[in-house]
Amino acid sequence: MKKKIALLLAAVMVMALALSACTGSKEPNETPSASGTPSEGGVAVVALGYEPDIMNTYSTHLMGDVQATMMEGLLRPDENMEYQPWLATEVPTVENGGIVLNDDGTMDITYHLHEGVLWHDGEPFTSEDVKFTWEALCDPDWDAESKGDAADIDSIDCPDDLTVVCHYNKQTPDFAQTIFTFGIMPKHICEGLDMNDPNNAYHLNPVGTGAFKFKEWKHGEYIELVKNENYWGEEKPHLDGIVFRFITDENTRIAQLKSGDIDFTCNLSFQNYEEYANIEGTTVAVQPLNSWGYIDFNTTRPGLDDVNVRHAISCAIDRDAIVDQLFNGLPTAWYQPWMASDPHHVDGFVSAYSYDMEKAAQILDDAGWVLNADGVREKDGVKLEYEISCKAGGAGDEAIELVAVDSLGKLGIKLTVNNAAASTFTANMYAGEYDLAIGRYITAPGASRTVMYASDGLLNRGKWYNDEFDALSHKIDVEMNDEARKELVEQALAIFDEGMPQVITYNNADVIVMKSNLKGVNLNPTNMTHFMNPQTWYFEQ
Amino acid sequence: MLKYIIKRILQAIPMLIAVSIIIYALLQFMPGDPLDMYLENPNASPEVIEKMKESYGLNDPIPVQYLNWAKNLLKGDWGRSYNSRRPVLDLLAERIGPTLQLTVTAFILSVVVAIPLGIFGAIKKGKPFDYVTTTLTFLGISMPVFWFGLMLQLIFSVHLGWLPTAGRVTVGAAYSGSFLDVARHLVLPAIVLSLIYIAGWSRYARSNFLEVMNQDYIRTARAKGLKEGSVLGKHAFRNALISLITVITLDIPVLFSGAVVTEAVFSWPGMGSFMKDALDKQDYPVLMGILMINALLVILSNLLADILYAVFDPRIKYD
Repeated sequence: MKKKIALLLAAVMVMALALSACTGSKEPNETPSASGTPSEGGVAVVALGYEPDIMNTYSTHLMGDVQATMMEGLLRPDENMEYQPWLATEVPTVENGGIVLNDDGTMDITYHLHEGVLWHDGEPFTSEDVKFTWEALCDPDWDAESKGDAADIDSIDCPDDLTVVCHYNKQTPDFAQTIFTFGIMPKHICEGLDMNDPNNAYHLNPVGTGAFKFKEWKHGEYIELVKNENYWGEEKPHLDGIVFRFITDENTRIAQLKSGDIDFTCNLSFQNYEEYANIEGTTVAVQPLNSWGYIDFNTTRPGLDDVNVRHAISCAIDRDAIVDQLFNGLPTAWYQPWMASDPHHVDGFVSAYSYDMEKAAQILDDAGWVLNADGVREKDGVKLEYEISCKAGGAGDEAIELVAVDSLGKLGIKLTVNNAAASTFTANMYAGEYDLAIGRYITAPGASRTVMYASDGLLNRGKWYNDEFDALSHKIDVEMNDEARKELVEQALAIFDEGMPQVITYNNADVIVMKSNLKGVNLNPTNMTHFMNPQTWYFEQ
Repeated sequence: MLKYIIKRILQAIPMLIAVSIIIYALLQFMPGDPLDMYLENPNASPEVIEKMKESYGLNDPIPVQYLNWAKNLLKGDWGRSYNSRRPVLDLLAERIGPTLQLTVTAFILSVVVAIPLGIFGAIKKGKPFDYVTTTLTFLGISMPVFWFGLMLQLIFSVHLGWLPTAGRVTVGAAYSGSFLDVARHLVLPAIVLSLIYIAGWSRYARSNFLEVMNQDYIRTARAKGLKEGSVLGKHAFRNALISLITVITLDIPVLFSGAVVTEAVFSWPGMGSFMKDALDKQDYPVLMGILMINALLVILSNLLADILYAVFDPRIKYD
């Protein structure tokens, strides 16, 4: 009861603060930065556009936003997508001896853990927990969606409570993408549990090492977290708690921003910018993501198997107009599958097939695709008539779709729109039942694009098979020297642009609106979410 | 009467079985596979997804899947959500309370407003009151629910600050979840949900009442020199009510399942928003659970309508 009254007082204080902070800056593109000494207390109310499915970062089919406030990994990607130590004391590298490359093509990685880290229930965090997390992921009976790279490790030794030695069966610079970064699970709670059961002791009361502790999940409504008083880090959490509310309707979230009911929301659509740009007492932030929009080609379709046609289509897509006119300039026009926040991207790269309608027509003319009486280009009986599809209801994708239909129509390529519900659309793509498809990728930090574009890539749905790209891509996967990796990326990109398996349209961004007096928020471009580092959040007095 | 009710309930059983088969088959016609969208996660290997399909029984032939579902249902097991893996019965139990709060409130509000509105409209036929209510009910029927909801949020929450914008309770407050707290959150969604029923039922009540007023027995009652109040109250009202009861009772399942948009706009954690989510994710066990409850409601409210009909209309007798 006392706690509830304290929370009520805190809520009243938050409201008072919100009311007195109506003069905050409304400059877009301004990332809020911490200033002065953080004040203590208050509960931040975060509105998510969805309800989480399960409190486990490895099992969830969605983003691990809520999980990120409670669970911690050994490393974490920072805002520049570079790994920083978290539960480990340093990032293992070849230089500092943390990574030992063996002659047989394997490697050993040693993590040293922080001393004095406690689980939320007071038990000490040790190397055994790290080993257990790997063992749990290796268990074939656990249908976790993100088992990621667990199979790359053959065995783990724990010479003492604070040292973990992982014996990898290959050399991979992307070892930190999933396992140990997503989070460590407590052995003393999870051992022996059926991890598929959403009602097991761990999923009902997830225990982590993070700055906030699980309090309650009111299904359909909210998840309430409270401050971890015994947090191990140097900076202790400032807020008394965080409440995640599930509000699927974006207009409702905007209304809640206007009425001051919520302190933070993200994942707002670019098209609604006018609606949320100038709400009193709030600040808009735009965080570029490690995510890109694309138009994918099914390269097995007659016509689309001709690289000239794909080049011409790329030339007909005006990325700048899409970004500026449809998306209010919030994301960035982009031409490569390595994003601006990724240290591996090629600076200033513009596709050789950027917007140029005359060039597009010239390419098609030269390749022998001539206009027929219906205004459709044709060659050897093959007409350039295709279906274009995206997930129905995705306003951004549908807008791009209309631009594509219009601009390719002018070129003599006739597109018919055929959109479907998300699950159907995805299933069709994997079955190869599509011609052109509009979508987006988001991926973990790391230069590898094998899974998307190499012949053996699971996501290579358009069946673009290019030996040169494959060879480079597989080299990128194992190259441990970062400078050498960047050079390989540059070569791979040149082949990608010439082969054009996909038109890259924009570097995706997340639009966030938060109360102007909410400070210390660490926006993050990766799939580890903005909520990974919540102890720095505070309300300015 | 009792014999009739028992007979009808027994008849409902084969009906429910038939409905469940049809719904199950229709859901399978939805293109795509419930687990295929997880393939988009670069961290999810096809083997893992194949294993999930196997453990959910999605690789069995559809008739086998149906029989397994039905067998488990008889044992009281409604299956597990493909999405969260939680038992469907738990999920439904969580959602049914908030939905009942919303639909019962909206139902009472609709009845209390619609019937007097319709009757006064009929009495004042051709007068300004009638014109105003007819125009307003027409507006009520044509207004998109999500737009009306957003407008109310804008006026009463954002500008006036009287009521909360969305949700069912105030989170983290001492009074969170108390009767008054829920009631405050209930006002706007209940108004939005009841609008279309107020509009529909009041028009129905008006035309019904007008029809009854032209009947011979009303003229007789007036000719006998009865006071106008007693003509309207005793003779007209009761007779106009009979067919109105049927309409209103048959609307109950529609009201129950029609809260999808209202619940989404107000983030009300009921069956409607839940069903929308399950549809998007092709979560068959959850959808089956929700749709079976709806089917049951349709059957029960039909039965209720028939019974009420007999109670209110002495001309009708069931054996």
